[in-house]
Amino acid sequence: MPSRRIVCRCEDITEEEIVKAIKRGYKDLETLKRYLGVFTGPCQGKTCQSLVIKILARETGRNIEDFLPTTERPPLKPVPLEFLVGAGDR
Amino acid sequence: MVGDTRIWNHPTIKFERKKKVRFTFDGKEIVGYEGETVAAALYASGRRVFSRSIRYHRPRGYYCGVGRCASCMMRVDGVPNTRICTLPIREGMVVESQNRFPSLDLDLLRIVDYLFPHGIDYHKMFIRPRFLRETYNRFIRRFAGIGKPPEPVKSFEPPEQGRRSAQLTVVGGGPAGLCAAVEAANSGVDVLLVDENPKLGGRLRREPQRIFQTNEKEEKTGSELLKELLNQVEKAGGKEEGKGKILVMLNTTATGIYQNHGNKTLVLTTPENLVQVETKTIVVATGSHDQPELFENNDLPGVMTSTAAQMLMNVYGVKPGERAVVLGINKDSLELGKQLLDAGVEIACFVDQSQKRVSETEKKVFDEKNIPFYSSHKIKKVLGHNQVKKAVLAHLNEDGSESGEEEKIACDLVCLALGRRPSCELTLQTGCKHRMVPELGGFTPLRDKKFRTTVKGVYVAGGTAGIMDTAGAMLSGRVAGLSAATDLGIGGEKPLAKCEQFLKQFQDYYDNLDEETKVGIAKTTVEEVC
Repeated sequence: MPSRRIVCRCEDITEEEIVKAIKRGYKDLETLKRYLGVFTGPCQGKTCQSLVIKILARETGRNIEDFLPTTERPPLKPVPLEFLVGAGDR
Repeated sequence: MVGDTRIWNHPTIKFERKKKVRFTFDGKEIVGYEGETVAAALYASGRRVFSRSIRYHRPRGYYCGVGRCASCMMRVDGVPNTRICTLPIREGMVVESQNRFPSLDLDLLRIVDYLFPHGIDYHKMFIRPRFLRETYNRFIRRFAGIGKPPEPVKSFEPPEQGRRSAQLTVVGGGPAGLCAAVEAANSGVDVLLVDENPKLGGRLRREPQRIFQTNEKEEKTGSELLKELLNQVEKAGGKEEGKGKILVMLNTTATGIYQNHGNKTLVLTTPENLVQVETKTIVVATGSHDQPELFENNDLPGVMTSTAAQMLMNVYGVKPGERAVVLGINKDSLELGKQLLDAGVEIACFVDQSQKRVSETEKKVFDEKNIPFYSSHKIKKVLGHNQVKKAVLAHLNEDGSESGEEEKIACDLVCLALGRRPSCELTLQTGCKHRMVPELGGFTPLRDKKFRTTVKGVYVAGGTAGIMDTAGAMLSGRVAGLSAATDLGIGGEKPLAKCEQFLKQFQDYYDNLDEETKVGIAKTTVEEVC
């Protein structure tokens, strides 16, 4: 069975891919998020955030305390579309 | 596959199993008991693979147990991508696995995993030659994504949106949230208490047998403490003069917060519809998330968070495995170890890079059973096909590098108990200031002594504020509830005086913490917030 070190379980992103992206110049949480799709799966970063930060700090040598959080947008959990249809002002 | 793995004789917990419920999973009938979730019933029937991952079709199993990850998404009664770990079973429901061909245990699309050992880099692959791009796209689109859209319906009536208003909304019904709601209501505030679970209690529900310190320095089990807190919620029912009501909404998730000139609108997602709540103040007590860990095949079914294992064995009475490796040597992981033993799970060993945080007396229970502690070790990889079969431990030198010494340990369960990080999604949406605090595990909202964040009317308590310990979480909840009451101008001088008293207790609690946590909590505390 192929061995992988999975960072983001939702989007199937491995440590190798993150390191590659950092080498290509995506050295912030926000840019990594846009380039790879980490934090954008159904979990919205609840499982992988700590690992991405750890890898980014290790690869760039930056202090972990300097990192800023990415933008959190609603909804925090998947919402059925029919609920949103019903949500308009009628 | 093994037979029924439910726990029938537990030394401390009695599981209620009255009514049998039948449902189908991929055409096969599964029998569960009322109150169980789909995931718990499937796990009890011996199922370990719950889904296939989006790109490589790797097997995924029960991982977070509380609806936070995406490893258990299935199609339920025609609705795709439903998290089955939080969905209660209903008679006759039809559950189907997704994203696999032909079956969940043997998925031929797994070939992708073998074909692309270094990952599918969609920024560079399938782009050239240009004229083939359309063909590539058409092909990829057939396989990409998870789940198929539901069957179209001719007409439907969308559920009407609910509207409410509240003086105070408490998000999260764990120890911190319950205390906040109780104190605020006792001061005369009408409180809306929201929790995503079918029952209140948070971690107390998950660890009913664990001994917790109360704020009066007594020792109580989780279930006793929960009973006491629920009693207080009951009493604060607004029957007495000068007391506010507590309205509890269960199975309800606060999915968003919108602000307009200081007015806050919280959007709640219930199982039936969306509810808009115009609220003056909010206490965010959403708790914390388990920390993940990186090792080879860390996504293999059998690797799960401590929370997930506790949900299975302590709430639903299902044995999470036969032989466990516990990752992490700390107070929580040792408690988890005791709970695993109670559930009849053998513990192969505890593994961590260091074991500074526990004393020899705390380890005694395990020493007597000859359960080894591998300090200065890490899990290098886990092996197995559809389920963990072995864990490979690597010895670490003092500088953290691998010494080359390795050991294979047979196990079918790897529990991640490496600490937690604050769940700050909602506070981030309010726009209040956060800071990365490694001592507390992640981003933590800044707050003053009275647990006010930098946005007016938003308070934090418990795990969200980085206070993972139950005694501290309860105190922080009480303070947050009272300072919300004070800021609303309800209850006169009384809440303020009470708040001072709890602040003193909190200071006491803080003084007795270990150095690392102290530093962490100090980093999140600021003098002035506004």
